Amino acid sequence: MDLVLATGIQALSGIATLLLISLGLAIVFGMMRVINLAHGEFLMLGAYSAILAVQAGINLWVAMLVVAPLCVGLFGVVVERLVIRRLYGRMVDTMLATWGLSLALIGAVTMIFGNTVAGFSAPLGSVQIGAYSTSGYGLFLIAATMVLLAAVWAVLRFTPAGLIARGTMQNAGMAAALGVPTERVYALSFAAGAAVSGLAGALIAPMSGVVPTMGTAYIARSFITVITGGAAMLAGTSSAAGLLGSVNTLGTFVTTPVLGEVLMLAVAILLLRLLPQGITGRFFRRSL
Amino acid sequence: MMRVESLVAGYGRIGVLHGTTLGVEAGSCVGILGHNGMGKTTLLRAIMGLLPCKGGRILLDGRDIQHLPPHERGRRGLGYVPQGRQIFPSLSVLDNLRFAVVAKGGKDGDVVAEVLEEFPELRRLLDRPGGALSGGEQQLLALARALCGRPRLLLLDEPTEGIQPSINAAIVERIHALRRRGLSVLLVEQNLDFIEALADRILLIQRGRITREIPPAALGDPALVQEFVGTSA
Amino acid sequence: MTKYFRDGGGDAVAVDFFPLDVTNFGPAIQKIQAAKPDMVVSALVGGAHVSFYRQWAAAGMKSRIPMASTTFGGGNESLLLSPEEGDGIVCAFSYFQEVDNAANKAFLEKFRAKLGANTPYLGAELAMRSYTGMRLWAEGVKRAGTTDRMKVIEALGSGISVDGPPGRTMLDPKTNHVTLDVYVAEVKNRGFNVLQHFPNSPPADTQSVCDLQKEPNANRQVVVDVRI
Ligand SMILES: Nc1ncnc2c1ncn2[C@@H]1O[C@H](COP(=O)(O)OP(=O)(O)O)[C@@H](O)[C@H]1O
Ligand SMILES: [Mg+2]
Repeated sequence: MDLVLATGIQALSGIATLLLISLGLAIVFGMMRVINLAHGEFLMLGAYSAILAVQAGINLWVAMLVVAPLCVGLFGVVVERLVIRRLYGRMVDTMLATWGLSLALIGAVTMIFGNTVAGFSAPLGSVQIGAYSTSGYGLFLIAATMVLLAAVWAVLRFTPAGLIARGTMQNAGMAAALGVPTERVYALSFAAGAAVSGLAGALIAPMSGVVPTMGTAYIARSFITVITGGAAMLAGTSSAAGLLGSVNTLGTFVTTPVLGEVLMLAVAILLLRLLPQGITGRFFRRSL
Repeated sequence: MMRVESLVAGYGRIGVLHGTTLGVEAGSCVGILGHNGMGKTTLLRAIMGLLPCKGGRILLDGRDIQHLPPHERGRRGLGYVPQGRQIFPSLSVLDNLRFAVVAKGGKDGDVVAEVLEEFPELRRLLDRPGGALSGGEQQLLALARALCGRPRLLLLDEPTEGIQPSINAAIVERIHALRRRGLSVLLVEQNLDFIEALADRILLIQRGRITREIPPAALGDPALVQEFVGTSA
Repeated sequence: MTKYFRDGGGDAVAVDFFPLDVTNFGPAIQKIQAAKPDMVVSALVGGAHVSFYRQWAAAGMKSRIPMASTTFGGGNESLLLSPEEGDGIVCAFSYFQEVDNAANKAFLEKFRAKLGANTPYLGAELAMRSYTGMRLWAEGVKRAGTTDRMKVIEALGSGISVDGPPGRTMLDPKTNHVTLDVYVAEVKNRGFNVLQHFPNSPPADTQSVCDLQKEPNANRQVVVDVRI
């Protein structure tokens, strides 16, 4: 019984992590059809912002939940101005430019902060489940991811800004003709995506090795999740994270960590072969 | 109210408009008649700012709006009902309408209620996704949506395309009502009956140029129609 | 490792390998909890794998099962963790900055004098080994009296050694490996606390399969037989 519960929690945790690290990328891709290959470095910047803020004496929770998204969101505004805006509609060029940005960010952070930064450990202690113990912070991550997802959904669904975002996503030209300053919508979407990435980076910081190159461990995973999910940013990313996360976690349990990864990639490839437009290209098409 | 002077525009290196000139007086309805592929849609997209122009001027209330992005043109009074309607497919009918109000920074409740007064057909559809409506319902929605932006000049692109005659009649009647309240209209069409029912002046577009004005009376003469348009009415 | 466990009278309950970009070690930690071993030995490397130590500590495992590692510290991993997460992990390397001998003390003093506020933490062996490697080469040049490549190689093969902060490092002509001192230390407050010192440890595993004096032009890959 406790084995089932503990395993379930691990699966949920795997799903939540995947969702958390992919959401920022999904927002930017869903809104703007821009693939931000510097997304991994946005996570890294979020983790660094949180750690540096904690070192500066700021409360841990404030550092993770406020400082990190704010810093990376502002950085997103700058990147959108200087790079993304100039390359709208040129997907390959944007990928190349953001890839360059990712290398530059790794280099810059290494130069400024060196290869190592003293992280902080996960708060909230551990929780005993029968014979197993799991981290309280891991449970918090699951809850935080669900709250974040619900918050993004509520903003899109119930606020005027969300209405504008949804319409612009579906038909930018028509939105512009109706009076929407689409450039500003894009700039804000990119900043919002960056802020969510920064938050995600800060939230995973206590559970991961925070080094300048940490983004590379995440970018492929989040990229696969978003592409497998398809166009609908929330439904797509959630369903893809749910599927790939459980395949990976359960695969790791039943076989080995190597095969767990292989299985996850195999499922992603198979899905894209069957549903080239992603899961939401076929199912939940009208959802967010 | 609006003047278009020697407009040159196209797609990439393909020229479509080669110096199009026309004017719309305040409160009038100008109809532009032309075959498929003559540049009607291109003209409206260029006026709306959705297509970059390579030459010419677009004057709205005497001021050149050529350098303005589409949303600024929308905010200065242009309303657009595009060909194919371009309803937001996953927004509900209500949200499609609210969108047009919120897009210009307005408060949605009152405006949408007012517009719905004039489009009672949409009332029972409010919760449906825009993509699930029939063509005729979508056309009414597109018109209602444009009106939610409180335009002064409405650009209508083939509103009768693929729509049953009863709805066409409803649209004609709706636009007449709006014109009585001062709305100006620029209508591009292939449907002779429809254009005849609405337009004060009718211009003929051929290969991206306005080639001549057709007196409304001429639309009744099959021989003239044959000559101008190449189709029998 | 499994061989050394058996040689030492123990056994491996289970062995798992992890792709380098794995960051979620929840399943692995749960498997370990189920297997209840006396000890966990990690050979994890890279930034992503540091996640393991953090998630291990967050799951409250640190006080329950001790951990040793053959790799931890080689890439300054100890600096990334908080003391609660890192303290107590046992590691073995041929040098730690905390090694207590006169040569090391003198070296660190000069090192600090030269770099001042920018002095980095040397941690485990990597930087010191590069330094010692250069010194071995310099020793070879001295003995050969020239920088001519073949003559230096000959001199290096004549059995030379340097004394330095890690102790004595001797180049073994049979394997081109070195005999050196090995230290066992535990992580303490982002640094190390040296527990044990094994002087003059020869590269015994390689020596058991390779002899470049008998076979100077050998160009095959030799494999240490760890079949058990
Ligand atoms: N996106 C496009 N790219 C290239 N050419 C186009 C495009 N859209 C329309 N055209 C061409 O421009 C010309 C005018 O098209 P259009 O303005 O849509 O005509 P109309 O609305 O009068 O039927 C046609 O020859 C058409 O093939
Ligand atoms: Mg057309």
